[in-house]
Amino acid sequence: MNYSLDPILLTLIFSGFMAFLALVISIIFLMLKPRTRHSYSMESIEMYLGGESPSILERRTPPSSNLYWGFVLKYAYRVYYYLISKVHTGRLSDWIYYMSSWYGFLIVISFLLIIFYIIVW
Amino acid sequence: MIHMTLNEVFSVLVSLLVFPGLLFIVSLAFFTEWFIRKFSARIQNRMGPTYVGPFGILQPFMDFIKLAGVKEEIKQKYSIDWLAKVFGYMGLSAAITALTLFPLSPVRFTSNYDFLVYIYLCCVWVPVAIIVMGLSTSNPFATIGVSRMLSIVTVCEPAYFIAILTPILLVTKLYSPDNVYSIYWTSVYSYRLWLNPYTLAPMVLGFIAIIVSLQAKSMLQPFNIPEAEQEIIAGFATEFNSQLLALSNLLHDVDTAVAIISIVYLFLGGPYPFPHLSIEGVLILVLKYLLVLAIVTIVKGVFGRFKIEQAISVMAKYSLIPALLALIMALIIPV
Repeated sequence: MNYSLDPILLTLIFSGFMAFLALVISIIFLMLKPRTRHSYSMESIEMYLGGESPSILERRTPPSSNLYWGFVLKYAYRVYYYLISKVHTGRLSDWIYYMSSWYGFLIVISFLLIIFYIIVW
Repeated sequence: MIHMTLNEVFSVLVSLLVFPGLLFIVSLAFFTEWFIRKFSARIQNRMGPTYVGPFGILQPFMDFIKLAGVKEEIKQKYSIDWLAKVFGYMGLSAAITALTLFPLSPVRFTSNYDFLVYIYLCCVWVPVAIIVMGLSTSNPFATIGVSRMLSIVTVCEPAYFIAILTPILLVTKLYSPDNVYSIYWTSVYSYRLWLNPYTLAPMVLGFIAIIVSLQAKSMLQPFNIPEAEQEIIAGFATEFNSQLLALSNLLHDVDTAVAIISIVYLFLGGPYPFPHLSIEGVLILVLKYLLVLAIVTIVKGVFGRFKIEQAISVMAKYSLIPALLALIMALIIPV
């Protein structure tokens, strides 16, 4: 059997399937649950730290701003200084070489795009 | 709207609960876990599962029964068990529901752009379920595991998404323009993409990319960083015990099995050119599943664990970039 539906209806039907299956799975897990009654000792309800001292909980964790500074310091500065050092040598010929190479790059890209546009569309 | 007779409703229920739904996929997940454990053990000159069933094949099933039905549930002071369980059930049901998009299911649901529904089920619900399960149990090691998992997910899921988009785009362009971006029609036609010289290169690149991202998605070596045994105890699963641990293991195995089935259909064409209900078709389907599983297991067996930055750079090099190249090539190929 093959049901061809529109995407929104498909999403709604699949959400219903998910809810139904989740219900069935939860019932199976409930039926499997051991019926014996246990008394929990105090040790068992503490956080498991794998033998570490509880003082590790007070340790400061790296802040999320490290993601930004890690990127800026590791990659962005490297690219920035590479470009700066290429263009700022104090010689006019280096500057002309730098600028013309980038313009050349743009011209090549525009040619490629024109060819791509003509062939594909 | 959709109108169904009683027979059709019964068929849908069978598809969801028996084949290829709950019963089949859970059995396949247990087999997949056994195969990975046994094969990687033999690669490393160990025995692997041995005692339960022939060649220890029933070991994952017995582990599940022991955890879900026998072991005492230890409730930690700060954890929210019910939230972890609800998300575990939802993640499991999302992965199972996705199977009804494939030709494997006797009752199939198709639509244009249904691959987005597949992505929603397998690449959004399942990782979110694992992350919420980890965060529901308050523990510093679980938090580290979840943060590592988030780092991996940001690279591996886009790579997986782009890699499966390649055959889907190619089939839409070349073989089935009326069924746009459909999982079902891609599964039917994808074997032809290996025979066409124009589409061979993007398929090879896409296949490499999806195998690497599958390794990361399934958290197998060298990408088993979120659980990192002996380094951060058990990562996101540190506080899991009894039923919650059984649920987490089952979700992991089902996710791996569904991802391999997806690769077998979307990249390798499932049983085609033979029909499903033929001996050749079933044999080819099983062989392709075992082939992908063997590749995954060999990679697991021969690699050690990467550091997180190594893992991300390897995934970018061997999964994200090949996937992007494959997609660009698929876009350029003339109709």
